[in-house]
Amino acid sequence: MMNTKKIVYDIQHIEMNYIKSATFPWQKKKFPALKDVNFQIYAGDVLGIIGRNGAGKSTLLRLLAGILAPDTGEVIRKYQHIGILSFGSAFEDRLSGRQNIMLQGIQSGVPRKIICENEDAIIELAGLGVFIDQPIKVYSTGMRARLGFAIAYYLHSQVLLIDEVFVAGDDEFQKKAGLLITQKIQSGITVIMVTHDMGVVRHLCTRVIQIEQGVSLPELPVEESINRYQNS
Amino acid sequence: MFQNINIIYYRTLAELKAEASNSFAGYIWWVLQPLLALAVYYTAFHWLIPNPDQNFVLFLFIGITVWQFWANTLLRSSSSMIVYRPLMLQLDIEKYVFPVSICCVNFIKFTVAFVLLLVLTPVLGGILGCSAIHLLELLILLFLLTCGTGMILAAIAPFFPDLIMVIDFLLHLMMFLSGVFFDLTLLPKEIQKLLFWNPIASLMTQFRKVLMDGSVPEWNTISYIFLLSILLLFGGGGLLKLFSRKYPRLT
Repeated sequence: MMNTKKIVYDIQHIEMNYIKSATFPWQKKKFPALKDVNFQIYAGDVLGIIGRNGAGKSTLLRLLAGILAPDTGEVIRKYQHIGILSFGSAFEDRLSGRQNIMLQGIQSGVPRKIICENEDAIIELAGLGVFIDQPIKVYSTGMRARLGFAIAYYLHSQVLLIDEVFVAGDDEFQKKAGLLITQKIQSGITVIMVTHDMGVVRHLCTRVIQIEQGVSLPELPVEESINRYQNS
Repeated sequence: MFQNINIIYYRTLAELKAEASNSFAGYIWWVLQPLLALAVYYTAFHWLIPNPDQNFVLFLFIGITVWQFWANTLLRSSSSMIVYRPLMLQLDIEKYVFPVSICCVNFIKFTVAFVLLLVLTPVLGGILGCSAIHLLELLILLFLLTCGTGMILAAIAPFFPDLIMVIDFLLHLMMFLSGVFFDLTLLPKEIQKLLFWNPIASLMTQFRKVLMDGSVPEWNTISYIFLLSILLLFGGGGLLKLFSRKYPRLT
């Protein structure tokens, strides 16, 4: 049956390599990350990308965000300049959480007015208390994840790209994040998440793509995909 | 374009705030650093090796202030694609914002030191006359030249990791060939002709013409530096755009 929803991403037989840079050409080395990935993402999808470590999942997410370009094949995307919600490595460590909210928002292409309007809500959702005005370098991984999630939740309105954020953070954060993503999903936003947590996949995802050794496996329904992954 | 200008603006502000908060003296270092450098080079090139020039302190101060801005910006710009790779792996961001914001940060710090230089110029035997109006065009040229060169280095250096070490060495060499410590016009004419192709040496000489002699800058020198700066800016911007999606792939 043909999907009548709008296509947000069309990934066509992409291949991509990382390069170890060196001064002399013969010293350069290529590291294949993706070999043949092929699928489409529709508006409103909640897509889980699963696979072993080093399969190419995060690389795929970066291709979807427009950060990387494939060596061969094509990624046709409806939206530009989508940031990835990750462990907050895009934060400027010397600045406070509050200052990073503005900086992250501006760098993600969000107008200043919208950032200011959402600043209080972001701070409340992050739940960092007085730490919001402390430099990020004193934050734990969980605190970074909470702040990064809060920024992405309020400032990324079209597509949410999530890279294993559920791993960092306590049970309370994971439950809260799951609930909020559910609310976002109900508003029609497209969510693409890389995760190793099959509980999250079962609970939230409407589709699953499994990547193994840089290749996208044929798509199966969610439960069958999880079984294939766990039995492989 | 407007969004990228916004990013440069906020990155510049963020960097300045972060630098100030990282040390006890904070913003005072922007003034202290050139003064300390002046003290060191004055000791070496005037006290240890006596120099009869009565205006040598002013001569040296102009050279050091301009040089520090140039060298610091180029060094930081050349490694910017490597330093900011973690950010590039999370956001699709125009790469030129990194060397440009580095240049803006250093230019603001340079401006503080330059204001101090202007205040001290009459005290140190210089002239702040009508020709001082030309300082504005020299400052713009210095910014454009440094920004353009920084962008070229930022674009190329990631593909040749050893280049960053070579840049450090070349800047040291260039420092001695740019008239920071001594007047290039004292050298033989043939060598002068060669050295004045060095745009930073030429620009430094123009700053000294205005502040020490009270005369106007040479138009042919200004034109040469302006054209070179435009070439470097477009070249650097073009290369950064061309390789934009390659930088995050380099390990």
